[in-house]
Amino acid sequence: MSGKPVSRPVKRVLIAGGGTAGWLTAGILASCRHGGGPELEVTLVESSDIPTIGVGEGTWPTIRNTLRRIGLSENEFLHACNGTFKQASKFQRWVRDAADDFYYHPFTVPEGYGRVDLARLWLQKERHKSFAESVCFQYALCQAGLAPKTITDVEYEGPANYAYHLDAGRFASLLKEHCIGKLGVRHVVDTIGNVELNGQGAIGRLWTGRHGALAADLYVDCTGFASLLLGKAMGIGFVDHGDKLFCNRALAVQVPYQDADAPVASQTVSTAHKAGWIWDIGLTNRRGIGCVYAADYLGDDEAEAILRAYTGPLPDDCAIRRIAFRSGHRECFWQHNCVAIGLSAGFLEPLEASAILLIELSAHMLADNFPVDETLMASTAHRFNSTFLYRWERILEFLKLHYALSRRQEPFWQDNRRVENVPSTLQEKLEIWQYRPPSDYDFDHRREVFPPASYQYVLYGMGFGDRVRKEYIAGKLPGEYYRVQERSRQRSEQAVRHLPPHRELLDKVARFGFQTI
Amino acid sequence: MKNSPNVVTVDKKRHARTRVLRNPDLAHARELNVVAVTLREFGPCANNFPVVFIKNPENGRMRPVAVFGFRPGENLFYDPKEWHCTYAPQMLLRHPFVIGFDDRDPDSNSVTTCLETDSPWISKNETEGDALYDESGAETDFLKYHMQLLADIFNGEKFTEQFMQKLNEMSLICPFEIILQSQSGDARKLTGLYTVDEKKLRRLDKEQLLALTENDYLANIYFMLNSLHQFNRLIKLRNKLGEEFITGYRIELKDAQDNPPAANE
Repeated sequence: MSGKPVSRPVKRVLIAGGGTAGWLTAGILASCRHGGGPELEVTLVESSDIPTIGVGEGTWPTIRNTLRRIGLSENEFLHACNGTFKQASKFQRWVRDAADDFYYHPFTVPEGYGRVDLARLWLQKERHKSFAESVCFQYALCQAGLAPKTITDVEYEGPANYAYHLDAGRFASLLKEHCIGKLGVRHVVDTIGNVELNGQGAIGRLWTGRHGALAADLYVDCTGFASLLLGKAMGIGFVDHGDKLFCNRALAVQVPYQDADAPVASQTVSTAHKAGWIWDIGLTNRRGIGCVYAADYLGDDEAEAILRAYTGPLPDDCAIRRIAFRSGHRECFWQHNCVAIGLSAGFLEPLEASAILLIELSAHMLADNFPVDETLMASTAHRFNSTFLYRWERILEFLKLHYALSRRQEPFWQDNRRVENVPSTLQEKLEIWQYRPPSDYDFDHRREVFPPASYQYVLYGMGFGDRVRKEYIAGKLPGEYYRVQERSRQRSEQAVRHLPPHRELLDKVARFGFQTI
Repeated sequence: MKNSPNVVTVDKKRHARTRVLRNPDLAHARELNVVAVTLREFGPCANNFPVVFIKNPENGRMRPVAVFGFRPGENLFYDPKEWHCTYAPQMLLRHPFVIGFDDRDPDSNSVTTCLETDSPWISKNETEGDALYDESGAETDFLKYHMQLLADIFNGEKFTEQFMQKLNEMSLICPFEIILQSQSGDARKLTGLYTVDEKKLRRLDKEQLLALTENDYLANIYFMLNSLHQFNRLIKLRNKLGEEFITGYRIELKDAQDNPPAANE
């Protein structure tokens, strides 16, 4: 760039691409003004010909604040998206491929987290129970198929921390309707042709089929895997992490319930197989099931057989969707006046449902740090890149942890554990964690995507307790630890008595809705 | 829609010989700590009991109740000789009659007078108590009284629902907690209670206030607000039991938006 940028207001945002990324970003940017942020002019251009990815049904608890912030009602959201409540991820057969091999990664942190590290007491005294069961009442709720709240709780609040399972297509439609109808987002239906760059390498304008050239002060690339703006037009390369996360294929299918009253799981279930894993997500009207696998280790036919063995017989009209993907991300996410959000920024296998979370984090960071003047563009981009490169690295590390701790013997699993396929940062942490539980000292950011508690759930859920050097965790613990442990036990008992079955709550929400106060 | 298994429609063929025992001390409510009340009862209720809103656990909807005690099972007004109050809410007087669906016509959704068949006040013989139908099969005055009572309750519920809707529309409801201070130094909190937001009420403009005088809404709002002082009466009655000594109470109004979002993982 030649010389310092000229000061001028940045107000017009053009989002390329619809889907969850495009519309969620549009909603977050357009509702900025309601929270005292800048008044932006948001336009979204999407093609009617190019389909969205069609899957993507798990979220994180951050979604509640996100939906609230853009002005959507929880009742409306659940109704439109066949939404259910997600309280955890449950991992089956990841360690030993046995029927009794499972563990939970719940959304609620361990009892006393922040004041008392219950992991220490668990390691010393409670190993007869699984870690999540011992430290978190949400385990009992998930095992019993209960909901995280009752019909008397208000929208977006409840005694147990929760997120949602949702229908991706319907979610995008709901967001679209809300953005256009209530938030003043301008909608252009057209296909993007040429992306014109200016002399500095920034985007000058986008050429469309029927609307001519569209220009803006800031462009958001939500064009999915194609990454038309950042990747293709601006030439930002893709960093392939396929050497650490081997899976690169998915087969997705929608499976109906046996009957309308069938129970709905309170968590996403991930079941490992010989060269990958199967996701199982329950909505109100159907389940979304997918087989994630590595093409180098498993043929497509065998993968389909594994999927069908899991789902059981499928109705004739059940189409299996085939998706090929690469695990990795762009070298940077914000170049000049273009920022990529969603699949265009990158993708990692959906093991911990991080895709929609990353969209939220990106869009919030963009909105809360919006470069309102051109002179801020470069520094904003630089800080965004720095933060998100860190985030992607941490997510990659956390997903790899699941593979690094498995003891399955098939070639896919053995190769996953080879030293050259495990990031050195993770190896170093695993060394240290033999001597003490994961703590804040292991992570640099004030706001981590996966806090130490998440690592504890996976570590101890997968049997790492066996590798802990007992002589270093034997110190006498203060009485407060035991009191907190007892409180955890009591909360589990009370929770199971007070909270309704998941399906029952969903029926009541459909009939009555949650109150606003 | 169907009735619960113990609720049957009163019918002159089924209940030709049925009798209902007198229940002058309303003993069936001995352990009831809240009872549903309708809008038209706010006046007399407020002279005796705190009238507050609580949420129906079945559907999350808010409704007004009179409070008889601080905990489930505690009715501080009950006395076998004479309750310590001057008014008995209609929902107490109706027992063992109850509003239910007309089970004589499975296709109909209409409601009518029913009986709670498992009530101990239904006579086990054909001599004790008041008859529902006389020799000629006509309704007795006893039955007619209770049918009228149920009709009043039914209409009262409708008015009450409209009242609740109006309050919701105007965002006039707020949650509150009661903190009971006991002599031993312990403080106990009662939660899940709601009342009219007096601060918001005072900020209403002339037009909104005028709208509330229709249907006596404003009067009933003030009956409710004033009835909160009746917690003093509950404390007096409670202290007479001699268990612990409650020295006082404090009402803490909560902002409707007071709950911070749960900490994310």
